Amino acid sequence: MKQQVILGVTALAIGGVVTFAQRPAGPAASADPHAGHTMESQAPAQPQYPPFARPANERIPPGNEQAAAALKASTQKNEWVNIQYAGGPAIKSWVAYPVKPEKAPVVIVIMEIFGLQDWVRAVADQLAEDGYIAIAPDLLSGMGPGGGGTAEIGGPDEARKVITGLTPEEAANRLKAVRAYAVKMPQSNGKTATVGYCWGGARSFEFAVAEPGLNAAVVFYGTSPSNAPDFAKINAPVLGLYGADDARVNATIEPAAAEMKKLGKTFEYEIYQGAGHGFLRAQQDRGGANYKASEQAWPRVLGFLQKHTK
Amino acid sequence: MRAASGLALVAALWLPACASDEHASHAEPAAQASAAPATTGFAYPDIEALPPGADRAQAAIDRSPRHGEWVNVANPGGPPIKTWVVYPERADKAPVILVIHTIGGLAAWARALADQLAEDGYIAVAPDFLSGLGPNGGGTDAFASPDDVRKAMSAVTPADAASRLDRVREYALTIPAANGKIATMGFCWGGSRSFEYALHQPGLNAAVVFYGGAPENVAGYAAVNAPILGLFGGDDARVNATIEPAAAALKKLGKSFEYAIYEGAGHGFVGAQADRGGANFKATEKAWPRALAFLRKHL
Repeated sequence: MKQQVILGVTALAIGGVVTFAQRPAGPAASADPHAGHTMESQAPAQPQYPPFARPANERIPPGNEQAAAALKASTQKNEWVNIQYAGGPAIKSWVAYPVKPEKAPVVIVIMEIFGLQDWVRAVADQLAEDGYIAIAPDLLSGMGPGGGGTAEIGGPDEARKVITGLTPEEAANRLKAVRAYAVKMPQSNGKTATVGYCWGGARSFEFAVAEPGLNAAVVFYGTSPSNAPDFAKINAPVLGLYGADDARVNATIEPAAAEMKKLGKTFEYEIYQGAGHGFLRAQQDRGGANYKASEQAWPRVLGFLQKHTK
Repeated sequence: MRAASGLALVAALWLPACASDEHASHAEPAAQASAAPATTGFAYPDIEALPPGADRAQAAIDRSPRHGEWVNVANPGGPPIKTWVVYPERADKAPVILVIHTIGGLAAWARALADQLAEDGYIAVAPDFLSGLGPNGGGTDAFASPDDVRKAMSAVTPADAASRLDRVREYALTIPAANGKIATMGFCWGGSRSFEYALHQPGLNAAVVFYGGAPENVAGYAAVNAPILGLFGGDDARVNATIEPAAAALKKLGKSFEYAIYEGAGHGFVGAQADRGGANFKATEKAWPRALAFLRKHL
């Protein structure tokens, strides 16, 4: 991986090709017909980013590339739990516990459109390290082949297809079952929050609408509810964290902010310049901007959770 | 991201490129019989700024950092149109490109092509024209084989395609991050539909036709508002026979029709970049920037 990046730089230098990020391609690279030309006229509309290697940083969740290793190295106590759900199949959930003996708030980590992948579980482990009981439910439980979930569906791209069958209402019902389990955990202090990403970010905001007992909702780059009357049902303070280059999602911030303000509800948010959509997962991308956003966003999340759930 | 694509390249070297090429049986009937040497499996360089060939499409989708999602677009009187939508990572509103798939249906390649357009700054909206026509009411994915897909595609008439494009265009106009400008980009079967849509939809801002035949109904050209760009492989007589009549008719009407024919390239050259000993890749390398420049100019 690292080697490839370095080779990539060399290719750029030799070819003088500034508009293409060229991947080295073994035998094909040496016969590369591009080596000589610059193609200014062909510059893509989007900027190209210099290679960036995320530095080691254990104070924030890993990026996607480090997730599997982070899970392997995790010293948190964690386990798979089947949460019973009256409306359907048991919800297979990854639970990570903090090492401290005192009671702790429970943070429900809501997966992306890709299902419950390693990266989401690694985020849960980070939250446990930060002092929270973290539960990451597989909201696709029962929707995979043979009644399975994300693991049986066969990859993120397939999960993206299956998730279209999970309505926001059904997702909220499943989250309610998870929250009911959370407040009864012996180690729980009775307070609950959601932290969701992308698809799950939208579900996190919606869960503040659906669940009056929720104590805080954190929305990472998910769309806001579009039905204005819904905001009146929100009790939990909401924190939104967005990459600036994410017009699809960010177009929904202002209408929500206006509505929340009118109602006297708490909605704080940050927009990180230079960052793209799923910046916390894609920390390696956009020449370091996504990593920088992650470095700033994570302490912001912890401060918000501390204030509202401890 | 890059590492994944490196692996994909290695895999591509081991696979016959035509295995995933939906055109394998309908392309280039004459050339295949006589002159064309066995030239599949060309190890084309892996370039971020170009769409992948069909052999690397799934890998490109899997490593994309962009937000891609499936949307069911309402289609009154018929099944909803299952549509793959990919968003660019940009702060401002963007034009929408309606990607019209080949006779191979909305396979991984068409989805990867959409992802490339998003990388290039556009919101890409790729409808599955087989939505509801597959087994159990499914779409392209529901068919057992590419051959079954091709068979089913014969049931999608040009009129059906145009009316579905109208529904998808209406949806595209409601996307909050879209700026209201819309172009079509179609390939092979979809190239023809892209051209026809310029005759059908006066609100279209641009149409890109990759190796699709031009409409025979010359009288219909009077309705064209959108500038049209055609990109063709030199060895594709079936399609290319339709270029000159269209060019003459559009010229007479004072409409904008630019095109390029790439020598040595076959019919579905963007999807089949591993074929024809590099000629298809070379054509792609020239055609893609040309298409982007055209879109930038008109959107």
